[in-house]
Order: sequence, then C-alpha cells, then structure tokens
Amino acid sequence: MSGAFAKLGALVLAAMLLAGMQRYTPGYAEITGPIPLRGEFGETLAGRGFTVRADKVLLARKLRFKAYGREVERDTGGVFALVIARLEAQPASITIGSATWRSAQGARFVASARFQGAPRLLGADRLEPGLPQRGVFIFEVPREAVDGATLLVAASRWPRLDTQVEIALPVKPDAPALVIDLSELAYE
Amino acid sequence: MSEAAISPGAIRMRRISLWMLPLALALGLFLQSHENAWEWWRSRELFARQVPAGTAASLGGAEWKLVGLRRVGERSDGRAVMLLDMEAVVRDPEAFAVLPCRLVLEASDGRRWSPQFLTPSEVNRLPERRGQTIPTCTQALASKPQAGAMLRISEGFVLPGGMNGQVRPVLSLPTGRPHYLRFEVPG
Repeated sequence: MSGAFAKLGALVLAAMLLAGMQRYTPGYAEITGPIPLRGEFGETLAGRGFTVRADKVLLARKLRFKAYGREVERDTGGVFALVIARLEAQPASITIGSATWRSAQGARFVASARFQGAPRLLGADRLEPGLPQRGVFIFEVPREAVDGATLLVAASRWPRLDTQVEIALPVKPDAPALVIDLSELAYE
Repeated sequence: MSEAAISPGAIRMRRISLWMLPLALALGLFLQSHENAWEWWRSRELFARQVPAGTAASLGGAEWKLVGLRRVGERSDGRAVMLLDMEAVVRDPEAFAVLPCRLVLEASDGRRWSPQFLTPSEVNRLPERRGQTIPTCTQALASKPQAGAMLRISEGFVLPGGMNGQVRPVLSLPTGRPHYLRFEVPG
C-alpha cells in the first residue's frame, strides 16, 4: 500500500516539477536578451565594447542650437531631458546605436531625432579607443516620465547577448529651465 | 513483487546502451549545431600570420603587401591622422570579391581602430595623392577585379596623438578566416 502511495507521490512531484518548469522557464528572447550592467550616476561603467559615465542631467522646455549655419529652436509639450555623459570605445572602434530613457513606469523613449546637426550629440559619431567623447543625449519625454528614470545605453537598439548599461538618474521634474542653448552648455 | 531474472545478454545490451548514450547525445549535438559551429569558426580571427616588412602574404584570394603607414596630419584636438597604403595582387577573383574587408590598426594592448573618412584637405595635402582616387579595401573587393590585377588600396585612420609607431595593420577577410594577417611596419 505504501509502495502505491510512494508511486503516486512521485507522479505528483514530477507533474508539479514539469508545470513549474513550463511556467517559469525563460523564453528565447529573455535568454538571449541584453546583459544589464547597472551602475551609479557619476561612475564609469565598462561594458563589452565601450565605457560610459553619466555626469549631469538637465531639464528644459526649449532647446536652442546652431546647425548647418542657422539658429534652431525646438520646444515640446513635455520636457527635454539632457544627459551629459562621457563615452569611449574599448577595445575597438564602435558606434553607440542606442540611448534610451526608461521611466519608472517602464515606458521607453529613444533619444530624440529632432537635433540633427546639434553640437556634441552623443551617438552621432563612431567612438574610437583612446579618444573619449563628452557630449549630450537628448530625450523628449512627458513630465511624469522624469522622476525615477533610468538611462539605458547599448551598441544596438535591441542588444542580444550584449551589454546594456543601466544608470539610475537623480532627477526631479520640478523647475525645468525655460531655454538651454546647446552651444553654451558646459560639457566639461 | 519479485524481480524477473535478467539474462547476461540483456545486461550486456544495457551496458552497451548506456555507453552509447553519450555518443548519441554528442552526435545529436553535432548534427544540430555543426552549421553554427562552422559559421563561428569562419567568422573568428583566431590565427594571426605575421608578415615581415617588405614581404607579401596570401589571404582571401590575393597577395597582400604593406606599402606604408604614415602620419599625415594632426587635428585641432591633437588626434593623429594616419594613412595606410596596401597593395593586393589578385589570385582568385571569386574568393577576393567576398565582402566585407576588415582592415584595422592594432596596438600591442589589443585596441583596434577602424578606418575613418578623411576630409579631402587632409589627403590632398600630399603631393602624390592630388587628383587621385585610391579605393578603400571594401571598394577594391567590390570592384571584382580579374586574376592578376594589382590594386592599390588606401585607408585613413584617426588615432590618439602619440600612437604613431605603436600600431600595426591587421587584415581579415571572410574567405581567409579564421586566419588573418598582421603586418610589420617598416622602419
């Protein structure tokens, strides 16, 4: 009798184990997804192909810059978030294809495409070893996406088995600057 | 419940089956992944061949020779502008025409710089380059030359100042991998 109970118990245990595996086994996309590298604001983080350090976050309602010989001003219904950072290729030349602003609610905002030609825009030029670039990532986000945001930086938009740097940004949505001139921004 | 008597033949078969299991698993793994393994093997730079200064070496359907690597200028922020000149004599046009070409400068600590676009003013200041259009490595491969053709190839690089003399050209081609060439710079 006890033998029958033992067999039944083993069967139930196996069924539970299989159900658990089916429920919790990560999918292919998750297994081959980005490899997060989390770090502090102001800390230099070394990923597989580049290093990054975020130094400053600024908010503005309007941005002004000079591109292709003329003055340009952009405004927004939300807020412009500027992250001043330092990037360097390591160990080989690389292009940073993705900078994303992730809100505390999980919404993702890619770097704005409205600033082509602006000075010192990060991600526009290829990075070289030994030649660090200091510049700015610009995001256009709703005000409610500011508090508790995280900066994500990776070599491609959807990194697969590759580094994705994640830096929690110390920024509050109160009192964004009315206008910031990108040409006069202190990058150093 | 009593155990039935197991014949010695059956025990032997069980042992053989047990020993065959790892072989079957290995075979299954090979059949499933050999294409990926081959792809990995053909995409990696695993074996460097050192090419002494002034000599040519065969790779990817051509004989390759380093003609020169020189510093041709300096940008306002101190970065050095370098120009690399190579010569290729095509032996196997089909193998030669497979893109892309990886021609980089490598430092002894493993750092690698890919070619960059140089402004015409940076290149045209060299008297022998004025009015000339010399193809890059990828352009040369894409031109699909005939066997026996001799091609001049040039690439520009931007490096940190002071790296002059500390870097060596490295050439890797799809049909040559996992082998690649590391050229010794003359002088």
